Amino acid sequence: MSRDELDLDLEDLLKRGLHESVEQSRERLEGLEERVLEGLSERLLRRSPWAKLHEFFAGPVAGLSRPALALSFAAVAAIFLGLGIFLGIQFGGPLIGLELGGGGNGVWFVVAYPEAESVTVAGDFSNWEEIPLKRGRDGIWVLRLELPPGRYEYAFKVDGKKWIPDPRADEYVKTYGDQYNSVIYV
Amino acid sequence: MEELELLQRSLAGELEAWGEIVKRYKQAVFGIALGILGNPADAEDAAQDAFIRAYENLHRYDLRRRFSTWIFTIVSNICKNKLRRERLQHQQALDEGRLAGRADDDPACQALEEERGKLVREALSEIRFEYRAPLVLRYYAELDYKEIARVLSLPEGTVKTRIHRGKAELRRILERKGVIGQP
Repeated sequence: MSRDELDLDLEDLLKRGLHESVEQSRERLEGLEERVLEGLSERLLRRSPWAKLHEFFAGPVAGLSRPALALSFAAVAAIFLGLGIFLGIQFGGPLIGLELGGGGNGVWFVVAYPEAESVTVAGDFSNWEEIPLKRGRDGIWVLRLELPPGRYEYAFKVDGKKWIPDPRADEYVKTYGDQYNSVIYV
Repeated sequence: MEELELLQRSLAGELEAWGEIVKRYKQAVFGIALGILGNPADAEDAAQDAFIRAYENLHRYDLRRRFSTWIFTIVSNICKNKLRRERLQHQQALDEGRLAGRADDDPACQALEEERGKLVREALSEIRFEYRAPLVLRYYAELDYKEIARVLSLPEGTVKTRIHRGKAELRRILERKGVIGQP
């Protein structure tokens, strides 16, 4: 057998061997997207607000100057701060929830509640039936739902008794007494 | 949806768009990691890590360039660092006399290692990363020399040399194992 033929033989073996290796491990590829997104959600929650702020201003944002961005951010931050204080007074507890939003029709519900035994979400998208979130590392609870475009009211329930709003929802509506529902727009 | 739009949406913070990117590239990224690391569990970790790091550094990615080159660069670097760490740990274990006989010495182990995929992975794991990575990028990801040079930040001539030498080394190993015939 010539050297060229041996080369082709080797290249063929290499190609087939590598592809067969991947085929044999195909089960490891299943759900990789979900694991990546869960990992990202956890890391996003762990990062300090300053790191997030720095990243936001470090990245290119089309059509807006940095001072304009800074001003816009300050205005939004003031609104959030005011709302946060208001909700903190209203509800108390270790509320550091985050709804990460979603492209297309997928929405991630993420809430950090390390002490909880269970966390569910209920909303008009589920006829207020509770859907359990999955516990990740560090007590971060995650759920991804496919929702048609629209406006949805919802709330998290911790340990089967305490209803809590999502502090990073798009807006809030008062229901009865001192209860608030979170609102998202998909 | 077009890849560029998915990347722009990902940059705007839409995790779902990033999920779609992961879906499109996961097999290629996992295959490269598996070819370089030789172990499916490690390859899965490396692939997952690559997509997380890529998302976190997406603002640094130049949208005019090929995304595949960028994500392949990230996973190759992750694999390279992992192998470096393992080599150090292996050396430490040898220094401390903690390592027993290698798996190659075990006849039962050898009997199981007959399938082509495993044989190729094993042979690849015996050659240096410098040769292994270009071989995997060439024969699994099917990149041309120019793209491999970009992924590994090497001159194109170096890539050609490394692929040539890597194949020669691989051939010697496979001949020794009796997988391919001698000239």
